[in-house]
Parts: sequence; structure tokens; C-alpha cells
Amino acid sequence: MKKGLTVAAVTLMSVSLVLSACGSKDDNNNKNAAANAGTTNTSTNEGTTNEGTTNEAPAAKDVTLSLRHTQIKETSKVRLKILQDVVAKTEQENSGLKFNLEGIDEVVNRDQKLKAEMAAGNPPDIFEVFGGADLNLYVKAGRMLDLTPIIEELGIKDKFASLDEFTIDGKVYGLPFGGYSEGVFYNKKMFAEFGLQVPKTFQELLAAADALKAKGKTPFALAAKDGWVNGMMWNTIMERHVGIDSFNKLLTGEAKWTDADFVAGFTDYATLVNNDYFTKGALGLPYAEQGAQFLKGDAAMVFTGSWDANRFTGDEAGDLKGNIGYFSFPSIDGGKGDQTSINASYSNGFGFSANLDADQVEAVKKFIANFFNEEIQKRTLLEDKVLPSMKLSDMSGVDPLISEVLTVMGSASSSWKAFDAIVQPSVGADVGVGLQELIGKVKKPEEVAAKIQASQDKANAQK
Amino acid sequence: MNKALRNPYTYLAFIVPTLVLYCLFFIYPVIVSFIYGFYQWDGISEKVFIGIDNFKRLIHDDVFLKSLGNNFYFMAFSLLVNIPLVFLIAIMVSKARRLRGFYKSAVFVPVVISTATVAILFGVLYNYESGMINQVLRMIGGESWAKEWLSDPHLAMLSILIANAWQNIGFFIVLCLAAILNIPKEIGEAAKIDGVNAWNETWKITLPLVRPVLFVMLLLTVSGTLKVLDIVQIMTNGGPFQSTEVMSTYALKIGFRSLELGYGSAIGVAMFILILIMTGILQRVSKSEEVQY
Repeated sequence: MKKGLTVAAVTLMSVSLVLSACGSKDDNNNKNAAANAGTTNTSTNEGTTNEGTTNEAPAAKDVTLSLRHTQIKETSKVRLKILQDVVAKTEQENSGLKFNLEGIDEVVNRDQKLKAEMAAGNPPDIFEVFGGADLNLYVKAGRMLDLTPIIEELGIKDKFASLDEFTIDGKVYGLPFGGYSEGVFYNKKMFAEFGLQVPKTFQELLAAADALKAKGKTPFALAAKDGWVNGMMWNTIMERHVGIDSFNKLLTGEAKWTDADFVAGFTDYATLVNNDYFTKGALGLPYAEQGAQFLKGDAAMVFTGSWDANRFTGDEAGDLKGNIGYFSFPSIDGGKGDQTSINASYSNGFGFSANLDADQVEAVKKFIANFFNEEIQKRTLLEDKVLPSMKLSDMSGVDPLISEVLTVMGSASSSWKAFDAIVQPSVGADVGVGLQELIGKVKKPEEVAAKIQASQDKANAQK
Repeated sequence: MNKALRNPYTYLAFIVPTLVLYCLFFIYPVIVSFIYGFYQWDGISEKVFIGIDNFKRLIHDDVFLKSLGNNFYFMAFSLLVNIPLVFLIAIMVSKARRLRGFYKSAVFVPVVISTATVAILFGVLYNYESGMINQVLRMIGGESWAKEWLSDPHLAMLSILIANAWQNIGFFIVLCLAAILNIPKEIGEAAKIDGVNAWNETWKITLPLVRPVLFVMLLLTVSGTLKVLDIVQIMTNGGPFQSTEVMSTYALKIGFRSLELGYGSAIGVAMFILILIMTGILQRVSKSEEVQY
């Protein structure tokens, strides 16, 4: 054997080893080449589909779209099924169109993967994205596809309940697939047993909690390991005290965390902690635990978002099924916020990459038409219990708890988005730590407020 | 064929793939982290050069100092509790006449379980209400014995360390055991004839002879505990209120949750330098003397 041949063979082998890692990249290139090779526009739905004849259909072009979703948990099986159905339908209606679905963990996607891809400029073609701060950043970097012409063409722009969180400078960059509101889920059975009413004021809430505690029950289930979980109830208490607009003023320095109103908000939260209304050992528990405790009947109430309604109406609820109610957090006397407002938003949705070529955009349009319509929204509401992001005309067959959630949401005087979509991420993280310090009873409300203000000052100085 | 093997390029060709991967996933990230460390950057928009401000901030950052302290606590615990325990168990197993294979497998089982699983498992055991540990404690000493293992800032770190020890010592025991069993039998027999007791045999014969392995364990422990991430991340995520934060979880939080990639890189760089220095010193020390009989 010749020396040169050996070297060549070895080199070839090693190179192929390295290159094989880049397989998916090659696929992408092929896809683009294939997409560019065609000339005419994709044929539109002809009513009938030519099944199994993809090879012999010369008119249809091969268009591939990668779709990143986060519906990988046991609890989101239903949502995944709906997505898969829409994808299958769209593929069937458009021969040559292929979706590559990829599911990864929600937090990993939001905090790591998508962010890294956005930085590098190679996000998936379709992906789940949060409106507000995240989207703002991506739009600024020019990574998001402007959807305004598409939804105007499809005539669905006015059908959405709210596109606020995905609208920047009048342009829409994402479409919410559902909404949520945050409030108190309560055990109706337990409330009836102890003769308790749904509290309307903070004082009534404290009284109810005391009564529950006296009976050996935990008033509020809480799992405080992750900062955002604690942030939910605190956010509403804070809003009652200061009004959500004050959060915007924190960024300009017009308001400070150490202002009397803000400190009062921290103090009220600390009151709940110091009265031992929350689950003991909460700081060590992961989020799913609080729902489990509530459903087990150990705790009478749990403050969380309507996304948990699916779980609370499912089999896990056992004999509590149908005995769970929902109310908006009570009003706080003397507070400056809107006392009957609710934290509600349509911030979780699909975004699309700005890198798409014309054919892919055309395919995206088909996907949007198939996904964002009344039929799918109704199905999402019925099967997945997610609040619809589009206005529905037909509300039959909806679960009682869900309609309670919708009623509460509808009767709220105003709605606002969560604080962590307003303040800088670093401040949001420090609020999470501060609340844990309150829950762990190692710091006073004033100290926590001062520390968060210091973090706010630092964050404000950076921009 | 022989000619080819004498050609240095053949060898080069064989190591190229590894070299490329090494550069891509080690050298390159280290270099860019060093560079990012000098910028204020959210990972997406324009970088702003701020000189050594990130590193200055590091020195005054209470949370970073706390996490550094936690890393050292982690290291100290592993060195002072784990390693003696490893040595003790290894000697006990080596003395066993029967079922030695069984003991060996038994201590090794936790190593096979992935760290994530161990972390979740211990999370369940430590649960305040329903965890087995608290239930046993309640049975023995009543309600007051139950502890908030993972949510009490004074206990959380210790709880993690115990879980970590449970998982990690198995590997070291097997390592240590192999070294002990490698000691020629004659030495032990000769010692016995000379009337050496068990204590002296362990202290003066076994220990010096397994020294090289002890140093390997030391090295692995030091670098392992300074860069620890997974078990902390899953068990407490640095909480409650950052009392169990270690350098890597903090870097992750700063870089990706607070979107301060520049500062996060600076933390990474600090970790890199620290581990480099520590392992460098250890290696220097380990070379100094070697015992042979």
C-alpha cells in the first residue's frame, strides 16, 4: 500500500468524522438550494390533495420549515397533539412542504438555546417566543419576521384578543397561541366545610387564612424554589399598592423600590409569610409541588396562573374535580393601584425567523392560517384548557372552572403584564432573591426593598 | 505500510479530529470568554468595551464571594470527610474475605446513576412533609426533629454535600481498593511476622503505598468541586436566596437569566484561573516524593 494512499484515507476518514457533526447544516443548505431551484409560486390549496404522489408532482416545490416547540412535558401532551394535527394538515394541503418539529424544555429554550441562536443569527424557522422584553431584544437585532402583512392578508389581525405584547412600533412580530391570567384557585369543598366566603379584601383574606390555619390546614400552597413562582402573588399585591404604571417609572428613576408604597407591598407579602400561611419548607420545593399539595387537600388555596387549570380539572384532581374555584386577588385598602385589575397577558406565542425566503414565508402563511383560527382555538380551550388568544363566538361545552376563569378575567377592571416583563432581567432576578429572603425570614421588607433598588440603579445606569 | 507509519504526517492525521474538536470546544470558548470578560454585553446587541470593570465588580460582588466560599466549603467537605471515608471503606472491603465483589458493586452503584437522578431522588428524601428522612426523624424524636433540609440556608449546602458524597465516593472507593489490592501480599505477611498491628499496617504501609492514587483522588476532588454545577442546579438552583450558589450556577444565572454575558464570562474566567492554579499547585506537590518498598 502506498504511503500517500494511507494518509489520504486517514485524512478522509477524520474529515468525514468531523463533518458528520455538521449534518443538519448540510440539510439546511440543500433545502435552500432546493427552494431556490424552483421558479413559480407554490400552488395553493386545490381542495383535493395528491396523496402519495409527491415524487411525481413536479409543480410542488420542496420547502422545509423547522419548528421549535416546548410541549414536551406530560402535561402538555394535548397541546402537542393539536400542534401536530395542524402541522399534518398543512403538510397534506401543500405537497412538498415539510415541517421538522423539535421539542425542547421551555426554560432551556427561553433562557439558553433560543437566546444563543438569536445571538448567532440562526434561530429555527418557527419557534415559541415570549412577547415583551425577550421579543424586544430580538426585534432590535433584526431577527424577527414582520407578520403584519400576513395577518392583514389573512384578515385575522382584529380577531386576536390582544397583540400588544408582540407589537413593536405598530408592527406585529409574533402571534400568541393562548393567554393566561393569575389569581387564586381555591378548594370550594374546604371553604364550604369551614363556612368561608371568597374574600373581597385583604383583611378578609387574612381572616380566612387564620381560620384555615386554626383547622390545621395550610392556607396557601407554595413551592418557592424558583423565583418566578413567588413573584406571581407578590406582583399582584404590589400592583394593588402602587399601580402597575409605577413599575415603568422604576426604569426612569421617577419611582423607587424604597418608596413607601413599594415597601408597603413588600410588608404585606411578609405578613403572609410571617403568619405562616405558606407551605412549610417551601423554599426547597419545585413548582409542581404546590399544585400537588393543593390537589391533595393539604392546602386550601394556591395563587397561580390559569395554565394550571388544565391540571386542576384533570384526573389528578380526584374528588376535587369540579370543586375548585377561581377568584381574583382581593383588594387592598388604601392602595393606589387598580383594586380589581388582574395580571393577564397573551405573551406566549409563535415567532418566525427573519431569515426565511419567499417560499418559506408563503408556507408560514399557510401554517398561520391553519393554526390561528376559531376551530383550533376552540379545540385548545376545550382540550387543553388554555385561554384562547382569539375572540370566540361559540363558547359551548367549556369546563366550569375554565368559564369561571374566563368570567373573572372578563370582569376585571383592567389587565396588566407581569413585572418581569417591565423591569430589566437582572432586577427581576434580584426580586426573586429578595422574595426568597422574605420567605426565609432572614431580611426585613425595608432591607429587601433597598437591595432591589440598588440593583435597579445599577441596571438603569447601564443603558 | 511500515513506511507510512514512519511518516509523522500519518500520526498527525490521526490526531487531527480530536485536535479540531478540542480547539472548537475548549480552546476557542476559553479565548472568547476571556475577550467577552472585558465587555458589557447582553449577548445580542452591540458589545461595549469596559476594560477590567467586570473583574473589579467581581471582587466586590457579595454573591460571587459567597459562591466562591461555597465552592471551598464543598472542597473542604470532600477532602476532609469524603476522602477519609473512602479510604476507610476501601480498607474494610479489602479485608473482607467473602463477598468482596458484592461490596465492591454495592458501593459502586450510585456512581452509575446519573447526577440529575440522584439530585431529584435526594430532593424527594429531603422533602419537609413527606420526605423519608424527616419521617424517620419524626418517629425518633417527634415533630421538632424534622428539619427543612433544602430550604433552611444553614442546612441546604450540607444536604447537597451529603447527596454528592453518596454519589461520588463509590468511584473513589473502587479506585482506592484497586490500589490496595495491588500491594504485594509479601509486604503484609512480612509485617505480620514482624508483629505489626493493624493500625500501623494501615498507617505506615497501606497509606504510603496508595499515595499516587490518593493524589489522583485529590486532584479530581479539587477540580470537581470547584466546577460543580449539576447537583446544585437541580437540588436547590442556588437557593434559598443564593445561599447555596456556587460559581458555575452563578455564572449561568448572570450570563443567561440576567443577560449579562460579559460579566458571566468574567466569572467563568475567574473559575478557570482558580482551578488552573489549584491543580497546578497540587501537581507540583505530588511530584515531590514517591514511596517504594
